Amino acid sequence: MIHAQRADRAGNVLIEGVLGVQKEAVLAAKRSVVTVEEIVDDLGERSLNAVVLPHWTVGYVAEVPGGAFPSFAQGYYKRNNAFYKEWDSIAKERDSFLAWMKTNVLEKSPEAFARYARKHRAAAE
Amino acid sequence: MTDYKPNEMMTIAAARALKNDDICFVGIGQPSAACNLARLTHAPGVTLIYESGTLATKPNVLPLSIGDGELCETALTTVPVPEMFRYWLQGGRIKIGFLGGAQIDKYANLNTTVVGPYDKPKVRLPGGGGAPEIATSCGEIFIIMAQGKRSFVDKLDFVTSIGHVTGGDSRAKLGVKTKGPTKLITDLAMFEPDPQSKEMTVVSMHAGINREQIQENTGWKVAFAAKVAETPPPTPRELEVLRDLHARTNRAHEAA
Repeated sequence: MIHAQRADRAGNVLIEGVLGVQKEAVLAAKRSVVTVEEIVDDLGERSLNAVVLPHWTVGYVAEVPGGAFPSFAQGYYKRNNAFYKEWDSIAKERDSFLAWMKTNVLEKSPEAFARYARKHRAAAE
Repeated sequence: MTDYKPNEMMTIAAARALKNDDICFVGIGQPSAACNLARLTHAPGVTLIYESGTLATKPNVLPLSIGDGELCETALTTVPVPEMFRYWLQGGRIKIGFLGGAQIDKYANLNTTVVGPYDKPKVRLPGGGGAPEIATSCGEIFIIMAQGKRSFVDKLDFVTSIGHVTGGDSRAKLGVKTKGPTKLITDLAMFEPDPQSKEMTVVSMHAGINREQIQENTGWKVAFAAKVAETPPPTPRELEVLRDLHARTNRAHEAA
């Protein structure tokens, strides 16, 4: 499961910035899910050597704005550095990790995250 | 004389080790501060590479991780990680690897994996990342680490990245053709490997530091070179640039 900038309606996925092993991870996987900042009609103007995963290599595409949180999505929003550092102490012990997950994920809806992501993205613009 | 902290002396001494035409693979944390200080002072042309694939990057603030957007935005170009390791690092393109660690021994082997027994660790460390490959594939290795009995140990709890292994020609006997650690810069001194034994040996002590202090902060019997130099103290400009870099980094890292 990886996060990328955008996909077109056929499911071709464009990745820009720090590529890491994202492309390789999808190509190595039997099944894959790509979350993207936005689904667009056309991937738009890009370098002839742009990194694109063709739709037939991708299992599923889901539009999840803010999906890289608390990290950044190049060209969309910056990383929340303060929370990124705070995560060290949250994730250090299983109890604090589970408590955080319960309050912020398990008891929250996808809509709550979408609201949060919109706010975060607007603040970055 | 300007007042400065031992940690600042360490970063500045480490920065001085880099030259303008060096090509350097940069570890996160202390190495990253030293390498960027070099770039912002005497070595503006130094090529800095982070393992996320950012080639010749010029970050304005120090990155929190190897994959910060800042590194990518200020790089000449960014390549995928497998390409970074296969063709750039293992291809022998990178002259210097700049590393840190949690534990080091007298042959400059590094542990960044675990403190205590592997199966029942006292502390699980972040892990090696690309350090094991950097340690064997870069032409030579510089290490920056603050000294202390818990970090400068007689025996590592785990060997993450090899240095001079068990000394002598033991590194070469493993088939590793690169030089390995040629400099170890601490908050007290600078070490270089003895030409024969390969034991890391004090070649320069920072101003105001004596041999006893170095020994007290080292878990093995420290070797000193026949002639030990004194590290020149930080210049006002070095300190100013380093402090500015840390100040704007802190501002950027506190941002929500």
